[in-house]
Amino acid sequence: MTEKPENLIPQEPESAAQDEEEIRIGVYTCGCGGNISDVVDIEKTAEALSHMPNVVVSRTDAAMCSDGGQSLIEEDIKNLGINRVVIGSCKPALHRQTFRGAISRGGLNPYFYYHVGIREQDSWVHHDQPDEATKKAIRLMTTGVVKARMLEPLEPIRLPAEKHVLVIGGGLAGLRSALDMARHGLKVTLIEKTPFLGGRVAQLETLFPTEESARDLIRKLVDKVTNHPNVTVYTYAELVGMSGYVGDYHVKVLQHSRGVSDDMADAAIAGCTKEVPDEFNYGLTKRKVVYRAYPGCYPESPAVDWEHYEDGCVKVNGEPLHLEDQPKVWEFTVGGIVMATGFRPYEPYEGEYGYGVLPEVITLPQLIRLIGLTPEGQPLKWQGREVKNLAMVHCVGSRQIAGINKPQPDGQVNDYCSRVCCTAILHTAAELNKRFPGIRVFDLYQDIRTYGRGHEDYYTEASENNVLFMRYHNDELPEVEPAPAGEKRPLVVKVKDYLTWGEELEVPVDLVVLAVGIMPNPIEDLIHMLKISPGTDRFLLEVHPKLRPVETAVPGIVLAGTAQGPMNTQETNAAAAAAAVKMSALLGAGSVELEPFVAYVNPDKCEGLGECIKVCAYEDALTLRTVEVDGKQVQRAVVTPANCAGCGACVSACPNRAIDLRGWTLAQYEAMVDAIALGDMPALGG
Amino acid sequence: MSQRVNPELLTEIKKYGAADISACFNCGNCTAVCPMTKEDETFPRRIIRYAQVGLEDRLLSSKELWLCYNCGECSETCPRQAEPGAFMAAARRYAISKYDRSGVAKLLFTSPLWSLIFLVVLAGLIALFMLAQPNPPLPPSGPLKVFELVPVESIHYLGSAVMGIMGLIGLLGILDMMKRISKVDDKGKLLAGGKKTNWKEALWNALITESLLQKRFREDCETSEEGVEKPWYLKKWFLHASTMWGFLGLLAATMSDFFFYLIKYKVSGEPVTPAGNPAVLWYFVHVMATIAGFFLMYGTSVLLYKRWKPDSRTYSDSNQADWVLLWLLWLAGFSGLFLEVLMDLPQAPVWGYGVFIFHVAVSMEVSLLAPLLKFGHAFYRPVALFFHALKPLEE
Repeated sequence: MTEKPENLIPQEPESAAQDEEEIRIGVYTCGCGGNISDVVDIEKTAEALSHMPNVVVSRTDAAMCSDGGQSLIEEDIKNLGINRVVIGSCKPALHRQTFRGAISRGGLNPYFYYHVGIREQDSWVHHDQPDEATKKAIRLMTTGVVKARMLEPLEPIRLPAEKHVLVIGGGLAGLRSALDMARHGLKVTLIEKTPFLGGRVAQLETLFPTEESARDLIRKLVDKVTNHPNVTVYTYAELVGMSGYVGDYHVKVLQHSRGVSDDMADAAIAGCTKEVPDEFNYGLTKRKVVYRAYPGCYPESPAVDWEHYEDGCVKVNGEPLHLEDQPKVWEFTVGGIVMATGFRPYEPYEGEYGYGVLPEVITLPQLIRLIGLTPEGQPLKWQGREVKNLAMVHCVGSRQIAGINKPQPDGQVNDYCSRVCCTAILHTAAELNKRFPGIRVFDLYQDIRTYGRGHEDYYTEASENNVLFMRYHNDELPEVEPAPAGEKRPLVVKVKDYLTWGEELEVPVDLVVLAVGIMPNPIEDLIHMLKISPGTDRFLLEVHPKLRPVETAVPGIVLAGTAQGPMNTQETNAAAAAAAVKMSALLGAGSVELEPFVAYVNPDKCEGLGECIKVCAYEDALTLRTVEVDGKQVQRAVVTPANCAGCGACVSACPNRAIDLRGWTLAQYEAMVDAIALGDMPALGG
Repeated sequence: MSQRVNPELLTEIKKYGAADISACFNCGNCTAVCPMTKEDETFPRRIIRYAQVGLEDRLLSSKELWLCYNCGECSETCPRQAEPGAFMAAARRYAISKYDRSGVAKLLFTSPLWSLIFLVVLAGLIALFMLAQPNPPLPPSGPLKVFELVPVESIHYLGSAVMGIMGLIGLLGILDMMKRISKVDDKGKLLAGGKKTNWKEALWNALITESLLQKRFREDCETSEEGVEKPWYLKKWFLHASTMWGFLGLLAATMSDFFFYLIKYKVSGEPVTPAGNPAVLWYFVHVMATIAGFFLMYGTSVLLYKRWKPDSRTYSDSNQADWVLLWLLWLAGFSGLFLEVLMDLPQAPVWGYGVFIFHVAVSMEVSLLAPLLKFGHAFYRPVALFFHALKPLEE
């Protein structure tokens, strides 16, 4: 580079620099520990920017976000009278709050600050062209200085918040987050769609890696939750309506009646004649239409399965009971919502590894129930035959490939890893070895991912005890066939085993167990109602996997547990605890703060045309209201800041330029675009 | 062609040693470090996998099993302490006992108590056979006159019978192995295929270069402990060669003696002298036997010590098969040398005749059982090496 740094500054029209003698800008260029400074010449950048009008000081630092970098800004505000701050560093999402804090400590309104992302937008993408990258950094930061001149002081939007949270889902994640929030002092209402608490974890036997009883764990948690004075639990209840915004959500919950009173509960169960497949045992057994999910479940009172109930199917003392669902509707206000809607196991299609066609093919959740239903000391039996050996197939309904795996009814394949199945298989194999000595397991896998603390021990134990591993490729799936007549075992599994150099192996087995993946529960109605988004994998989506891992894009709605993605119980607990802490931090003060970057209407220019409302994507963010102006009733657009996302669609739609965004005004944009365009001058080598 | 899985095979092989092999998770480190393995001949992982999955045909027809000299590198580096080297040894024992249809090899490898009983009873029977000859009364004093106790002819007939039976057992085993190889292996089919092959070169390589001279054992499998080179007389290949050549020397001496006996008495028509006097010291067969005896004693003694106090993975994990062979050879060698000393004494003690009986019984026993002991590898390794080196000649 041969240009003098001052020549790299776009020459602005004279008019733009007028009447700004009070503005004193501090410019700070960060090296980001080499992330920026290895590519961009930050000294040159700082030097170039120091020549811009209004720039009082232009500094560099190896890490502006460090204590030293922050105090540099603080001191300049105090000592040099800096009243606008421009920082060129990482992306704003990473350290916006850091720098706002530093500016506030210096005594300045934190919105007198503009952040330029010269790492993601420059040094990381142009690492092979340092000269050009330096020019780009200067140009980008020039726009920052231009915008800084036009900044206005802003205050975050403060809304009163209800210190009350709705938790949707009564499984491990819901219970854990409810308990944590209750302990943090929030009021919690937990709703569970089914008549009983406990969710999927209650259907397990022991939990890895601690080997504690799953139902004991749930029982303890349920006791704590239901005995906590801050918690209200509605089972057999679902969310049917929601309006409002963070801090002030109006929710409507519908609760089915349990159908039978406690005093005749046992008589009603005994007198029930209709049976349906028991979903608690994944259809291995049947249950009555008046039922308790499992011994020791909460609540203790049985419930009537209204979907399958028919009048006359319950008789007490020979007389039919006429039962009726009389749902209750609860309406109340909450400050936020925790989505703990959980998962369901993948259901293999008919014929997938013989599932649904060959009776000896079951899923891992079913096997776990089968073990749970087998009395201690008795052999494992399936359909009356003792199971001496079994094959377990990994990745059924996980890590699917379009074109190889048959798509789901919605046309998609599950291309994600369900994470828990590998350890779950090995944990179950260990359990089988313990409970039924001599039983042999053939483990058909693509990869073993026993990633958690203590999980690998199950692998070691398995290979040393009863498990023979075989590795298939994801485009050569194993096949399950009925054994030829006269064989001892009913099934033959054929697998091209890549641990044996692609040899075709045949494994005669008594049982084939499919380790089915994890899929989110079908909650399309809730997704629609709450305007939250699922990812391409159908699990609920967080704002950012690292920076905002439990929040949704809708303020006040957070995610807990497997609604967000496959997790084991340990991770579910951690996620639920994180959701609880996020919610407590949000609502704990009784008010919520929102960014002030929302639309505002200039009432003098607005003519009530309603163009803005047509393009607004957010419910109740913009409304037309009748106001009196000079004695006349006129229509004017009104913004409800809590519902506005600050997207700016309305700004572009208004023919009168009557609506604008705070902190991101049209005038600011125009000035920035001009500054970029001015860059096309000989001085910038354009 | 798909193959039936049989996980019981590994359980069966574990009876022959290698208890830790279940820890194997098929990483292949053993194959990567093995100095003997080549691109198209990979082991030990391949052999371990055959055993895990139960592909018995593949295992019993594998040449790789016999390429291994148990240097112990694989066991040294196994991340799971699965002892692949010890497994290879166990798999060889399993193979030897499978090539043997009688079940004696299996007994000798898997049951310490029964094999001890078997060995003692068999030696006792051989001794009884010798003592059951019409014996003249022994001279009360003077030098040992062993051929007056047992006629030299009896010993020779017994010896011939023993060698014949041993050869038959060995041959049957070799045929069994070759049948298995040709069933599975392409190289096995080469012999029947009528194609031109390098069979002469392969045979030379198998019998001379590798079996007798042990080129690769010497050159590739000598592991040095932390960079410290061992003196030649303590190297693994030398201890093995000393034992092997000692044994072969004694075998050759015995055969030569018999040969000369045939020439001297049968061809010349002279009557058999019943004296049984010790051969004169300079008699070259005698010299050869003595030297061979010293080699055998050196090799077996040091190996016994090393198996007692292992300084390398080669000698750790000793199985009854290792002990039985070493002890039998050591006892045969030691009793032989002791007997020589006794026979040179002008006034020998009467129990010297006991030493004689003992020596002949143990020597006969080890010869008779050779294909069923760890010694069996001497029969099977050359076959494997032959097929290993065999390839079709370029047209």
